Amino acid sequence: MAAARFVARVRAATARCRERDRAVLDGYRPIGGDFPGMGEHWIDVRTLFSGTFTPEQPPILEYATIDGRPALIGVAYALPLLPGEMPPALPGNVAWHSHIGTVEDESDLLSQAMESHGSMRGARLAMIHVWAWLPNPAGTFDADNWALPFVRAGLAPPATDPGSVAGRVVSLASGGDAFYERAFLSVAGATGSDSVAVHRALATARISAAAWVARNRGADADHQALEELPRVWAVMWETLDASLGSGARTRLLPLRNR
Amino acid sequence: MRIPLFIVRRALLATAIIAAATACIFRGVKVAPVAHTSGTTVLSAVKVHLQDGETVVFAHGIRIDGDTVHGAGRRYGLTDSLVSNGSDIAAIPLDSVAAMESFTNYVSGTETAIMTTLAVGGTVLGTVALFKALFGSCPTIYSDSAGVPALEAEGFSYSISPLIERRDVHRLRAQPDRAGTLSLDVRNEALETHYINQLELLGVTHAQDEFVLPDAEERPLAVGAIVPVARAVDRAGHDVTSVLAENDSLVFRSDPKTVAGVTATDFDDWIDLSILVPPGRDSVVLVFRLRNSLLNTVLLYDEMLRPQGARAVDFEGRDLNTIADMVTLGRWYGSRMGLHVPVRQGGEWHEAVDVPDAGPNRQTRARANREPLRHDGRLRKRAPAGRRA
Repeated sequence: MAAARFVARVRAATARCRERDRAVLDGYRPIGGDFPGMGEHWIDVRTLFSGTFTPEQPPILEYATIDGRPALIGVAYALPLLPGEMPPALPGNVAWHSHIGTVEDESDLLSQAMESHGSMRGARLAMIHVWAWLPNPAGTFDADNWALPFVRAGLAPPATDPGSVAGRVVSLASGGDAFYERAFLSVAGATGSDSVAVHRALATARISAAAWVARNRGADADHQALEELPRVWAVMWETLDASLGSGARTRLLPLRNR
Repeated sequence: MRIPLFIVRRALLATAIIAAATACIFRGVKVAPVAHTSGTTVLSAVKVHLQDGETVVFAHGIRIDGDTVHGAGRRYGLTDSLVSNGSDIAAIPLDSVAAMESFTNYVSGTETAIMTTLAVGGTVLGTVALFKALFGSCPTIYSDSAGVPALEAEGFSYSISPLIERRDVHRLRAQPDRAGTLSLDVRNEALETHYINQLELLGVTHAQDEFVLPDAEERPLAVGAIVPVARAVDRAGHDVTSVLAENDSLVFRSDPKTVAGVTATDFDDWIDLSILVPPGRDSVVLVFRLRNSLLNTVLLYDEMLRPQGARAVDFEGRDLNTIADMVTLGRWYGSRMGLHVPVRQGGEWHEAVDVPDAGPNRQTRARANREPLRHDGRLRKRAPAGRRA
């Protein structure tokens, strides 16, 4: 109940920023890339370093392009904390996670797999997401919102959490393929034939994802339909296994095992 | 005092991305003090800092004869704009001069190889041309004043690192022409590598007796009926009311004893302001006309970058883009720099608002803050010790 009241406060305070131009006027600007399960982060550095936590003033707004227009989908709170400092308790004892590396390091799949929600002791940016405008079936404060790829693809958001694998596959049909290609190439250190293999594997998976989206457009994707998606992801990895050199394949293992 | 509402009309002027340029030759600028002695001749550009805070730039050098500095100079006011009452100047009395610096271009063969690599890396630590060394190293914005370019603003006030770059709003003095066209010229005068993400012109509708300033959150604010503070006293106990009363050439500067007493843990100066609050008002707007003392610029370039030598590029490109390092630097910076305005209430000072410091590259700025009123109407303006207008 307290969490619902918190979200209601966030919605009331950020309704004016549903028009992204308004947020720009308020000092927000984009940082990092467009994440399949999170969208774009728009940050107001002044609020970030204001030293206060105010639910009505989130330092980060999250937007995603839906139907060709930027849409406010959520907010994030970030607190720059020094060693020994702790973030305030939130309704429902929701856990903050922390970021310490570069934006690029903290953004790719490998860092998220191995180091996200890192140490809470040193200097860090403590962070929490609040999906105030696009409900997250995995939980209002969960970092990834895998309903987003469905909405971006013109589908109804699933009633229950589709999971990260299903979300990633659907995202391939609405721009996520470029995100994963960059991540795979970066982590694998892929060049030459390896980079061609990564591109082909993702392009093939994208075709399968787009076909799945087309079949399910206009109807709620049921449990049975959702179960088809992990197979697309698995086939993509099998393709990569068969076509990548051993070095690139080894370096990609941590991603495959997520 | 009016608490304004404002209407903002926005027009996108341009969005430009200036591609990275590589430099194969390192060009530098040597800055050296100029002796105040008769017979001194300098053949390169000289910047003369006057006692009243204004500056005179002699682009082609000077000659000192007796008690007079001769040359073909242009005089700039506290806001770095050309003074209106005769900017061209041929001679100035030596006793009106606080300091003089000469600027000389040079090309370094040794550093050429280093800078070629660094420039390819996309750093902004590239070449610095002579003119920009005189006024800064960021994109400048000029308006057309009857055919003469007038310096209006210098961007990138908060851009020492992409991670903490911020919106940067400047007040323009230029007016549209009869056809309603406002012509602005954005220049990259030092041929540095600049990335401009967004450039907008904000038009603000306001009453005729108001003027518009950016507030502490960089939002336009229309203010009017400005009244001087009733009393202003600095940390050393000096009454500086008359110094701050008018927008003139009188400049507040920290008492030498305050500056001499600076330590690593106490380098603040402050001014206690007493304000006569009109009856029935519940808030007040503070309007500051400031000139950055360039302490930030010195800290960044001379203390943080220069000692690191070539590693400064890693510091800019990697360290300042590491979240943990930026948290540490940002927290220190926010707590120690800028203007902090506490309000006296119940016999104690309570922090009311911070005006973040003008960034390492900020030259001039007018600021406004809305303050909740307290019945004793006293505020304290605290900032690192140094000269302020």
